[in-house]
Amino acid sequence: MSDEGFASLAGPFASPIGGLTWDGECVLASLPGEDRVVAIALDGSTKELRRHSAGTTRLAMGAGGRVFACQPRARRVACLEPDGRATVPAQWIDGRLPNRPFDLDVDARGRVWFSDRQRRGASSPLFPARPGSSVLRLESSESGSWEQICAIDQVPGPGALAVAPDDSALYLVRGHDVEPGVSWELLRYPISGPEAGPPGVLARGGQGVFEQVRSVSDLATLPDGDVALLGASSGGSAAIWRMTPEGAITDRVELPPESTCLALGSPGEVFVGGVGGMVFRQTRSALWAATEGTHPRAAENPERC
Amino acid sequence: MVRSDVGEDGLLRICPDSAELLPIADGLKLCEGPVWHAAQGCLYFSEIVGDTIWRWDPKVGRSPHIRPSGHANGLALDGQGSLIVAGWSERCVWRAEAGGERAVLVDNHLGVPLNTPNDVIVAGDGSILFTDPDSALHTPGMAGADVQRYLEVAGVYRRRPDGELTLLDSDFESPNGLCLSPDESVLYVDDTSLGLVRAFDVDRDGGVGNSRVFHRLRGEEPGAADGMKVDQEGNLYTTGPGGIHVLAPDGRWLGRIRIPDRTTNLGFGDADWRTLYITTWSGVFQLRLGIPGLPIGSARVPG
Repeated sequence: MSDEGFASLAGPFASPIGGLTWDGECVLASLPGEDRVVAIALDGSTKELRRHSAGTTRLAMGAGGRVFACQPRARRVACLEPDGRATVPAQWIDGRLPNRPFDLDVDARGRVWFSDRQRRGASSPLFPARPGSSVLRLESSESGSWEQICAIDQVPGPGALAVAPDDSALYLVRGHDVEPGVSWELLRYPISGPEAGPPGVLARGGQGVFEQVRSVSDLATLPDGDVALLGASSGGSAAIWRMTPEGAITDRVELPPESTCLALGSPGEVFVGGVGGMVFRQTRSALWAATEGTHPRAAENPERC
Repeated sequence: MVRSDVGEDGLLRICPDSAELLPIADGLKLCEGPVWHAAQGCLYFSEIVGDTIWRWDPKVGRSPHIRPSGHANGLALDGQGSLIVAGWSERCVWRAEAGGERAVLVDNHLGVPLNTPNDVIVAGDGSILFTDPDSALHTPGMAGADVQRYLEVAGVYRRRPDGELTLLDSDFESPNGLCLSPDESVLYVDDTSLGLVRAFDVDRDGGVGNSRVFHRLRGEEPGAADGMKVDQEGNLYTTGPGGIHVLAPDGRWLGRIRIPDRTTNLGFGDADWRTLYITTWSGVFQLRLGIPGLPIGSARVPG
């Protein structure tokens, strides 16, 4: 176990942190309860990046300074453009709409993967929802138009997800009806064709080292392909586990209580946020040594800070 | 036969028990903006999710008039008989030109892009009044080219014939349907989120004041304060829970005309202006009433 300590970077904000992402110079944080997204510089100074953010929760950096955003209330993934606009790459899929996008990641090819949780009452005759939960993917054609396809169909309770840096695998936490005594499981889906899978199980809540870990709320992949998993115990404590693509745990970092989301910054730097509305920063993190280099999908800095 | 809930005697004079509610269009998705074109003898209405403005001729039926429509919402007619469109997802108010082109009349306030114009009317002096909530920016599946909200307010605006735009009021959560009293001395605006009708006195310059809650809608049935119109006696008809709620000019609830689908808007039509056209989530109904509505477009009677 290692714990280099987290320092407060910004907050408390008036609402929980919905999601974090690193844009190369500052960390972006969504505040769904305040319906806005802020940009936080490393000195803690905060600028409002977006007001009226349509309930944006999870964030992920795309190419060209774009920020992709889960907007579960509007049942879509939107793109916060560098020029201030917000666009919706694709809305309908086979005549239906997503249910409730929960988490997303952008792969090396610029495709946007997101988990779509079924929600009671989401569907209506006017705005029918896709049946069941799934993982969907947005991808653009050469002409620049986007389409939305189903990458993993009928996966109960999909939550946090992350794509391997080399696009070889999708990691997905599912946390619903796994089986008695198992509150969640981390799945690894090989990516080869249009669809991902079949999956292998890397970890399960309630078993082994995760016996006390009741939920996993966020994932990230490291430059070498390892996976960072943010989990919380029933007592409220939280930690990040680092594991290999095969599921072997190599490190653990304690987090401020009630942390729910994370973002990797510059090499050796980790940001976490949570229900208390605080954003914390850890430098020289044992989780991710500076010598490991930059994530291959490190963001292009659009000078937001 | 139409079902109604009578609150005051006045409703039976407006909508007798013998009145028949007839469907004229069904199988559609989110109809809105019914507007009767007297010179053409037809009804125009929008189908928001279906992305179409329809033309319905009593003799030949329904045909698509404008498709795609940019998820157009409320419709009105100007004095020349042109359709004035609350462009909703396209974030503007536009006029349908004879050649099929769209002339954008308003798309910003003081240089800031509008939210999503929802409903529109034309006043006697040719001014265009419209509501501008942000609903299309976050309604699933209805996104236009840009879904970022820029304005801090969700307001009601007046565009004068010379193009000057004035923010009349912004004390709303979600301004929606609107209409003027027969003498245009009172402006009524539905606030969907708050479930109420707000009234304003209109001054000689077209500005508004004396904002007040005119009526709070009641009912648990599907339906909301969405679209509204007045008849020639000044009675106000607004969509609401369970159907069309009818209010006397002094705000008394006269009753409710029950509609077997979630209502969205209404408009008077036919040669005598005594047919009420009611749009719903899935279609359009017509209902003959005892009191005519206000003529619109080129049929408007100068005040």
